Amino acid sequence: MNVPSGPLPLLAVEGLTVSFRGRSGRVAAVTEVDLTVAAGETVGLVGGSGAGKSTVARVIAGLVRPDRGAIRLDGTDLTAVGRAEARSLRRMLHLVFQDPYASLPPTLRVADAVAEPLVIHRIGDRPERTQRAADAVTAVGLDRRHLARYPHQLSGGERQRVAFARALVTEPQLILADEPTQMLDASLRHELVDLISQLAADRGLAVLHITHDLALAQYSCARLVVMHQGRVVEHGTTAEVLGTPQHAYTAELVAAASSTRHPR
Amino acid sequence: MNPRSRLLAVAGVGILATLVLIALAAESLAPYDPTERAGRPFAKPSAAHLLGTNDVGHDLLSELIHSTRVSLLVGLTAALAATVVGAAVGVAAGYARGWVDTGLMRLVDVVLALPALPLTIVIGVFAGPGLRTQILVIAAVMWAGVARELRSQVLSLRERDHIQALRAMGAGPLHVVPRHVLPAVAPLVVPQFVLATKTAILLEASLAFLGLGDITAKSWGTMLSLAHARSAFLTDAWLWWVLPPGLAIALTVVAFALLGYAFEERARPSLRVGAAVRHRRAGSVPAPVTGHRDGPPLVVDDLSVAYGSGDATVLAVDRVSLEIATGELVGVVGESGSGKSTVAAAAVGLLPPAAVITGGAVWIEGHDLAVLPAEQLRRMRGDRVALIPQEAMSALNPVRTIAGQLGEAVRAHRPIRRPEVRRRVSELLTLVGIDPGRARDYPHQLSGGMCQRVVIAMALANDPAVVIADEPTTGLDVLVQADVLDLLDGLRHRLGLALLVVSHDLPVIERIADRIAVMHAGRIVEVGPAARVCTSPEHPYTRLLVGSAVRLQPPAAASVP
Repeated sequence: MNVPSGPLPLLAVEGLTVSFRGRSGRVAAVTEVDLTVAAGETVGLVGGSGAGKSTVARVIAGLVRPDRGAIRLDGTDLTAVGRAEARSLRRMLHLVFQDPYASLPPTLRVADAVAEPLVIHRIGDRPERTQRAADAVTAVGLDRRHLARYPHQLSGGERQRVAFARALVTEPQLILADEPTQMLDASLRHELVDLISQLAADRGLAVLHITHDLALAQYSCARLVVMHQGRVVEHGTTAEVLGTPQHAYTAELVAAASSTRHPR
Repeated sequence: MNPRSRLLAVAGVGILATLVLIALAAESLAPYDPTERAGRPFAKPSAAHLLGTNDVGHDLLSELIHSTRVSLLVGLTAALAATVVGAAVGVAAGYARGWVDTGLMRLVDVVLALPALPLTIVIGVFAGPGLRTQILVIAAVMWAGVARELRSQVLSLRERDHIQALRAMGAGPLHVVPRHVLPAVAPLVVPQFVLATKTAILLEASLAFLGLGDITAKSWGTMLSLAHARSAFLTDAWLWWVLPPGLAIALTVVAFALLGYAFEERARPSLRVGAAVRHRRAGSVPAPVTGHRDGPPLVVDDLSVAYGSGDATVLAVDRVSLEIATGELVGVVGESGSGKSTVAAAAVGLLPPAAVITGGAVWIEGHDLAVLPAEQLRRMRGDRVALIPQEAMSALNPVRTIAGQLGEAVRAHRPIRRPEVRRRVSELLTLVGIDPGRARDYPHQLSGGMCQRVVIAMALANDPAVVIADEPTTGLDVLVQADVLDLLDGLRHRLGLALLVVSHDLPVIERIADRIAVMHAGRIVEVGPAARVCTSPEHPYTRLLVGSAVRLQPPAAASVP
């Protein structure tokens, strides 16, 4: 393993390349992407729409099969081991989706939706699952009253909190959050990002926060990885990347995000 | 469900319940044992034998009652088998995809391509007559339809986020399919099963009539077959020998059809017939076209809009007033449910069917939209007031070129000649910054930002005075968002538009708006010059909005915690 120095990163993506079948042959979605997330670290994966950010997350979560590249989780390459082993290794991570209106099963009550990962991985018995689901729901700042509700009885912000409660219930070490605030009203975005930071700090979670919102990334991430047209164009600490952008695309993103009013 | 469908469903249930009761209580209901000789052969109807007797003296009424049992049994069993097999194949193909899908669906295609009745006859002849053959044959020709229907449902269900989320948690098909896919498709399986039963009972009758039924367990079809063999059709006997089983079959089929369509309507809300559309102001007196004509082109005057009726009324817009002058850009900001989109919809006279204007008015160049006759309202829309919808991609027709769609917008309000249309289309494209050489492109050949520009061009096709943009940058890339907003900003200056932009994103609207109106719970809580609203908000809610907008800090201040 050729990780340069320091502690072994929790997640190391190396040379990841993904393509999809298009009308004229295969279309590259992600090309030679490298990124690392250390334990307890929050990394922002930023870029415009179609940059390939979500595809990276979906490959890590095992929803999309990569063409090439390695995904090392705690040192083990998920692409090199068998399907069953990869599945049980992936218990270490959890992917939170963008749209809380679509990502929760509509027919399950909150208590059951949150306990679902435990059922999938056959962890604990019924009382234990109920207990852990209740704990997770409390940890994300929801009331126990919410346990008996259905998703359609919750607001968008509450649903996204439920999604995070479901992420916590198996006690993973890494959370992949794919634009978790995109569908929320502005006043709730702040709260949710604060919740993510607090959970990360309390539990020593590593977070890969995917967003197109540089301001939000600046607010919550220690390091940034910038993607453009399927490639990583720049990475570094948040202050470096936003303060002295090296790549023209990053500079453009920063300029677009910091301009407020035009002179007329 | 509307009262008519409910009535039909109740009728279906009633008929079926009666039939089932008859089948269950056949022994006690039938006056004679249908296998015993009860009278003389070929007897006409009499008090002793209400439907007469057959060629060996069996009581026909008793036979009819007992046949209910066999007909329903064969129909239900065959339909159940077909539905179970079809559902299994459909779910497996839709969820597994790949070669499993290809293989199973080709088989389905083959079965569907074969004509059902001749096929049943051929299989029936080979397998020999009997109840088991009937059930086998009917199930064999009917499962494919169910499979195809369910496969398409499962294919789309599988791509939904909540199923993808389960897969991302490491759930295999053995967990996802029984716990999440089957319950979701079950509401579709039920109408499929009921409608399949209807067809199965008909097929059973046909097979039995052709002599493939079980002679010892008579069904309605078998009765018809025997009646035919004994030449009942040639004498008066058809009245009591042929008509009753025929009617019984027809009645059962109708009952199952009624029930099936009721279930289908419940599973697919889109089949419901919408209520009559009324946007008119409740209890309004036609107001005269007033002296607003020289005033601002868009005046929203004390407007209230409610959804629903009776006890369930929700006031979505509560006494909102807003004016937009020529060349002015006003941003309406608020969170979901604040009523901002309802104001936008009312401003173009396109409120959803459930909405009612309960007070106030919307004036476009001096015309009150709420009292304008429908035809005049249609003529104003797109001509004097235009809407830039959300989601440009879905607002464009994917199978027509952008030139075709722009041309349609141009011709919608005035008859002009083809070369003139072409000239206007390239003019519009240039206006929104698209090379007129791309006029022959289809929407999918353009980027999201370019589609949004095309939609803007369509809104401008007839030089409207007022343009309403509902979240015009939703789903666009950050960099493209900025371009589209700059374009809108430039256009209203050049063309002197009164532009209303609805957005949930304060920083987005702050860049271009002259004035900002902040909406909360149906009311405008604050309205004022954009810079003032964003720097020194007065209302607590505005302060919350401004405070929670995450902004990029200048690089010097950027420090990592």
